[in-house]
Amino acid sequence: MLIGRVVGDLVATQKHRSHEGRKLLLVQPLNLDGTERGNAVVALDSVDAGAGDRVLLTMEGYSAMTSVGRPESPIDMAVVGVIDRLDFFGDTAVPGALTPPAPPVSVGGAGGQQTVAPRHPVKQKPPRENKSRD
Amino acid sequence: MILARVVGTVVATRKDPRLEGKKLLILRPVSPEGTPDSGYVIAVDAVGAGARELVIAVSGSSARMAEGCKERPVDTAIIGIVDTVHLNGS
Amino acid sequence: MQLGKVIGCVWSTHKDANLSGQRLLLIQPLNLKLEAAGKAIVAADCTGAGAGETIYWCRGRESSFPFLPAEVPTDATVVGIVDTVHVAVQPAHD
Repeated sequence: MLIGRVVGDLVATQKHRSHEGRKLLLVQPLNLDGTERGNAVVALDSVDAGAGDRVLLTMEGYSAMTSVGRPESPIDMAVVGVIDRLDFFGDTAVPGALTPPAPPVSVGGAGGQQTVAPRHPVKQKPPRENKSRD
Repeated sequence: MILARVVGTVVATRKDPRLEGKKLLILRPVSPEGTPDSGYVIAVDAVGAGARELVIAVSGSSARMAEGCKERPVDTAIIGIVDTVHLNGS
Repeated sequence: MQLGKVIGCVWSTHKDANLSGQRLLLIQPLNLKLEAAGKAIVAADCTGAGAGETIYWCRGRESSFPFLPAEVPTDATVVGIVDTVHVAVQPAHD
């Protein structure tokens, strides 16, 4: 599994039926120092994670499919946990990783949401507060 | 399988119920000489590994063959604690 | 899964029998800003996505599951057409 940060979500009306009823999260995989590790990915949600949450991201099919309860489905990534805390052992500490996540920015302004094709209206929802972080 | 060093732990209360009770450790892959490689992975501990220990980790569907990992969403598991590594000529 | 854009189609007459009847799309992977990121790939499709559409695609063995019980030898499949992308947290290192 990798550490990721939920940076948003996406809406898709036309999709494989196994993806229906599950949130599609945009997750940015992170390095241990908190920097980005490659491109953001699309992952199904199994733990009700929201924007700003630091999460456990599995990138293996069986784990992803079964965590969202959709066996034999085209699902290669899923969020399987919300990270409360990362602890590093003294001399192996990676300083940046322990800093709290960047607060969600306002989505009201320009650029927050990109409409790709006007298939149907989408309600904007405010970013969630992170409750379970120390 | 890879050689890796246990560098930290992950605490996650809200997670897939099949991960409950499983220790999640942060591993940094290391070369056979013991120098850390780039990258990291979060693994489920199947052998009781401790802080800073050198371990063997297995990835992919084989990870679910580790003790207590069957039918759980585990993509990397720690399956051994390394006592020593012998390299040719040392 | 990853974001992508349909940039073309691939036609092949002589191909694996289990690929017959499958549309093969050319996909350009995208980043969060919907800019091209990485190399274009050929993907199967289970959504009916068309040229220029933003999609998300699945890779690996799982990408053949939409076609079960047929065993389609694909390692990438378009599994959804994206209506909107909602970025609530700006990437930290931009």
